[in-house]
Amino acid sequence: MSDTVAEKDPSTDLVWSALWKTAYQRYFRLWMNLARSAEISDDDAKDVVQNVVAGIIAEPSRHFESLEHARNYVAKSVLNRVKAHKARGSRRCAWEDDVERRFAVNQADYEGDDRVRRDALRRAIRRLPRRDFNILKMRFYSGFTLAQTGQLLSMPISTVASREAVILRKIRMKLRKNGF
Amino acid sequence: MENLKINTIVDMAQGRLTPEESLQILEGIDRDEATSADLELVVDIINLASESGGNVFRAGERTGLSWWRRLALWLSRIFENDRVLHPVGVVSVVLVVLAMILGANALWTGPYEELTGIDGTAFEWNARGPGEMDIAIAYQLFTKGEYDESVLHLDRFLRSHPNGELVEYMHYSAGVVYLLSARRTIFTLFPSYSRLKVTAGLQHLECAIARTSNPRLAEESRYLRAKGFLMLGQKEAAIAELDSVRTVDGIRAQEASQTIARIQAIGP
Repeated sequence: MSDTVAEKDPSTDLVWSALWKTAYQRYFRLWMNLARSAEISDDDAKDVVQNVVAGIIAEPSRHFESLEHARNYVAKSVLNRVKAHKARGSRRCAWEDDVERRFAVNQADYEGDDRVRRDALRRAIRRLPRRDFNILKMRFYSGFTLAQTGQLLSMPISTVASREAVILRKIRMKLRKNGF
Repeated sequence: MENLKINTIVDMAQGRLTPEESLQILEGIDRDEATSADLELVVDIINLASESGGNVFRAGERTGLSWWRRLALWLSRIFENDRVLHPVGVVSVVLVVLAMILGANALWTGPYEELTGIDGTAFEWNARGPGEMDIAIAYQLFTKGEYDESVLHLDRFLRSHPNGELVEYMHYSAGVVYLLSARRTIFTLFPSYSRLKVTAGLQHLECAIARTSNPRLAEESRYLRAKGFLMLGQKEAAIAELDSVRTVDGIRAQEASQTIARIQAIGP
């Protein structure tokens, strides 16, 4: 990931890359969910994520091969941090306010391909057969586990699991057909 | 991609696993492009559910597509511009269209269709006397199935010899030809009857009954009139004619009884 398009914030020395904005916007929830898996508060989880991101941005020499590479690196950093964070408690950096201000996730910020992909994904989900739609809704919107979903839909866990895999595969194929 | 892994990726991305478990999975994702792509998709759906989940997964609304809408969507995609027609899709479309046509045909076909059949090969007429040329030509055309031309010659004969010896037989013949020519189909489906021709046929047969003293000719004419009325869907008139045939107790008596029974079995 090369930082060819960047802007320097005069209030800090941090150089904000357009690509990092994309990464933060795209993976913020993933990193937040991972942070929360350590059973810390939402505020603490947000602190950890923003601390990690700000720390990476502060190292302009750091390069990533791809967006996915950055995703995984930050994810692992977040997970390692939350394990330590639980022990030492919250310690907010000045950078973190900046990160929060600059990278506030906003649906309206989605542009171009991201927006088109998002619309294609929305259509693919809405066109699922009812049973598949309900499984996806319970897993991703309501946040139920496989067991809870199976119980609510009166289906064995194995059926929910296999069905979920098929649904995601179908959605991926539909997105590919649309060029994503 | 095993089923368990993608479910685990979903659980990981939702924060349901411990940090240690998540780290293990991320190690695997680092090494496997396909798994990484799975995580990308899961991230997309999580983001969509979080930002506009109310619109996508709106509670209380009909969710998912009903089977017939999915069928219509699938059928419409068969003819997308950038795709070659899929043979299975084409065959399926053809079968569906065929089934719809046959279903429509079943609905179109009148309830008495099976009772209206007339065996054209059973008729033959030999005539000697005035106008025999017209009669001979009419018969030749009739045997070839050229009913419209045949009836023209019969009509010409009847106009030329309104009181001739053969007039009752020619009225009967004209009635038969009109009824035979009244049936129309579209590629053997969707049968219908020309009201004009059926009415003309009924009138000729009525003339034959009125003029003849031959009970056999009268019986046949009434029997054919019953079929003509069934072509028009006039059940009661058909039963009246068949009743007359049954009363005469001739050759057609049993057939008339059976036909009445079948008509009544069909119902109103």
